[in-house]
Amino acid sequence: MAVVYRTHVRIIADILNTARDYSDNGNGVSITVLIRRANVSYGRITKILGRLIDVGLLEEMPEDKSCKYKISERGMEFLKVYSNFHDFVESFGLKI
Amino acid sequence: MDLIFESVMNLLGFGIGLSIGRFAYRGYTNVGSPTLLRLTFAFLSISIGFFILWVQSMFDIFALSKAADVDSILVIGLGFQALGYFFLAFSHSIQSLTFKHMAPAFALVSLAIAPFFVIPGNSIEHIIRSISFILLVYGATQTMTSYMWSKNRNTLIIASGLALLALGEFIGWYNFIYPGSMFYYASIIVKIAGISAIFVPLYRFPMGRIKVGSSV
Repeated sequence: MAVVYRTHVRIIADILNTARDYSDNGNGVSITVLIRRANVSYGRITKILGRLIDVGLLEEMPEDKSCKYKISERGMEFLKVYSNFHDFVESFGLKI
Repeated sequence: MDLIFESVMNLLGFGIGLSIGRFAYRGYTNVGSPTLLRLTFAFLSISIGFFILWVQSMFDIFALSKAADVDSILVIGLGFQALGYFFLAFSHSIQSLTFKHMAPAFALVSLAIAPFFVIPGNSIEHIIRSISFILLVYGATQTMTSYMWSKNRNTLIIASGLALLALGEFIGWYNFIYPGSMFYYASIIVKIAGISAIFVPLYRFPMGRIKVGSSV
């Protein structure tokens, strides 16, 4: 069986989807859940999370010992647009 | 009358290619996917190709053929279209990471060089057409293979569109054997049918303004 690699954009969409779907009563999601559910290593996810916060797709919510991540309105919009273009690219038999 | 028909068809191809290219570019600016950038290059090149062919037909309509080298304009137009088909084929080959998957692409590109040696006294136009044909057959085959896995109806329509574009290039190449016949016009009609078939499944996507902001 061939190994299927995810593209960078796909990984970002997986992180945002996890942040949306596994948010604890709207209080965000911990980095552990993001690592497990989006299947990204700690080293890689910290870099991506920094970038997503910078561009406003995720919001950082500091807590006592750690911090949680919540998807922003802009992040929700990104997922909607991503879904459209994912279908568009898939129509060509390609991966986004 | 034939020339007017040809110019209208080329203008139609330009419009459709431009619409798909603009939508792909909008996707690239919002999502930042390299696949969308490759699709942008592909459809903008195809669109520019149709535009140049339209310019060539305008030269013919207004009897300016002597003022410009229309054959060179035709070659440039077909060259842009071949570049677009290359980006479509490249998008498929780049996603097949192993040599095992790349091998058919290499074999087909090698075949594309064959006309250089096979046909005596051939022109650049026919060489470009044969390269386009090979690239389109590769793209159509890969898209059809994707359909086998996904069973996505839109993928099947796009694969058929690419196959029609390939058929159009083949008929255009056949014009080499019977010059001045109906083959040239048949080629244009089939090519426009092909690019229209690609546009049909994309019509349901919101072609209007989409803006999230800077891409990630």
